[in-house]
Amino acid sequence: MFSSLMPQRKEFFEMLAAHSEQVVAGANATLRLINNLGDGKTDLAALVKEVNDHEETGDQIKAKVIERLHQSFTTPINRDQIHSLIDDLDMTLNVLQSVANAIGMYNIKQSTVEARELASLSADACMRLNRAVAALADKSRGAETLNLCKEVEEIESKADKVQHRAIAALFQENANVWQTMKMREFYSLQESVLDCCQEAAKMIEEILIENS
Amino acid sequence: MEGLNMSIWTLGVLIFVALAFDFMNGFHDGANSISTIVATGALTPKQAVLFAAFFNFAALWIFQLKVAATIGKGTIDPQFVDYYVIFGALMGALAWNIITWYYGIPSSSSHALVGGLVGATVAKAQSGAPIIWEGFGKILAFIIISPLVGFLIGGFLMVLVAWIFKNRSPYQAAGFFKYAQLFAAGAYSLGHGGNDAQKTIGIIWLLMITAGIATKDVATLPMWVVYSCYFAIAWGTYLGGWRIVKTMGTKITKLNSISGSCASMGGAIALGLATGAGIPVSTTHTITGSIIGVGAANDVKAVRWAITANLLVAWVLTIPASGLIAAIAWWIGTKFL
Repeated sequence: MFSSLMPQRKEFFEMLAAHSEQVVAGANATLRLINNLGDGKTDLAALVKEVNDHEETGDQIKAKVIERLHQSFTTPINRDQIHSLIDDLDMTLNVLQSVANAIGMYNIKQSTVEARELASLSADACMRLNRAVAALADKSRGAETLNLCKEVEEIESKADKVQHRAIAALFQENANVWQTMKMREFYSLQESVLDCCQEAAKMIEEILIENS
Repeated sequence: MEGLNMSIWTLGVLIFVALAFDFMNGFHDGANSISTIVATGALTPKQAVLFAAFFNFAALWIFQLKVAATIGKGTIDPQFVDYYVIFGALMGALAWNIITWYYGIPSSSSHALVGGLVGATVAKAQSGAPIIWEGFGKILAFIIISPLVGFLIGGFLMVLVAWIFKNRSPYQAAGFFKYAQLFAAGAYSLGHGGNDAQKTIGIIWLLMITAGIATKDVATLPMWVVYSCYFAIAWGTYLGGWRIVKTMGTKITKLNSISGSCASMGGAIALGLATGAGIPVSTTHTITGSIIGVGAANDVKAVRWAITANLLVAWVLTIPASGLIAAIAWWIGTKFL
């Protein structure tokens, strides 16, 4: 009865949701970048810049969240959990940025079926993560949120399989050594995005268990 | 007149037992006030018990003897009381206190005493006639009311603090509460001493009315009774250790310096109000209510309601159990004393 009289501090949910929107935007820009690689028509530099911009906005939101944590007596969910979740979300965006920048760094001219598949899986996972974060404030949507987290984890294990297939394809006989080296690195970066999504999803599950 | 020759000796023994009860009360409950200051490291356990003991005694100069009056002449009709009744009452209360202390159940010494008094009197009268329902009813009603008031004040204080410190982290606020909790614990110890020492004063008063040494007029009560009762509770608090501290401080809900201060202050205000109004309440119930109120404000799930329910069972049992033991002790007393 007293808990509803305490300062509610719903802005933490809003900031978390705002950050996860940057993650979705970053993942979609990365997806377009990889899908359109080598078509000769797309302004790749502009897409990389877009990803970098989202990453920067994400950093600002994260800084704001941490600043607010230092200025709040109460938080709607556990303080450490807010910190961990914003960390996981920010890490996702950082790795997306690494993926986008690796294309130029490794001089990747053509995308592969597997790279497109991995990019599409990460965009999907980020979108579901965003929906889960956005629903966090609403306790009545706990079951739905939990489902979204489970889906993110399923997507991650799907991505693992794609990565294994992709690496196996690289090590076929007569493989180009340079191509193999850089694509192996690139796939593993792409898969890291999904690992980060999974971390965030697990954090959300933990929050749901404590607050259900 | 063998009975009269024995009476001075018996009176002395009973006063001693009453003071022992008072000592046990401090031993049993006095640690409640300091659980949080020890848990948060503001004072060492030794400093904390000394601190609590001092404020228990200092209550002597703060409160009037209204609670003593309720116990001494407002719960049962003094004319039914004899030494055996007081003996039974004290034995019942002491035995129940030791049982609950041993098992770490924060039950109420006050209700044990009232239960003992009523149990022994009813056993002697073989009826409920000596019970003054106005006083006893008030005590019974406050079994429910005092934890509720503690709950409301504790919860309200927590909400108030959360709004005052809205834009500071708990870490920053803790700097302030390191001192505030000492103030709150001191206030709570005052409330404890004020309400609980007076119950023993009431018992000794009743004894003196029976012996014809004092009358219902408070001016006839010797001052050494008041001093020795406050001293006994303070000494008990000093030696009491912190067996019950663990249940109160950590089992019901986790307390830090902030929530601990709110809980102590909530308990102190509720106790101060009751003592001022002359109502003997359970200090244990009051602080438990306050701790639960604070826990409910922070997070309803932080309150371990199962343990709270355990406490409730002990509360409901206290009066009948101590009353029963007191009745048996009265019977034994009449046979062997």
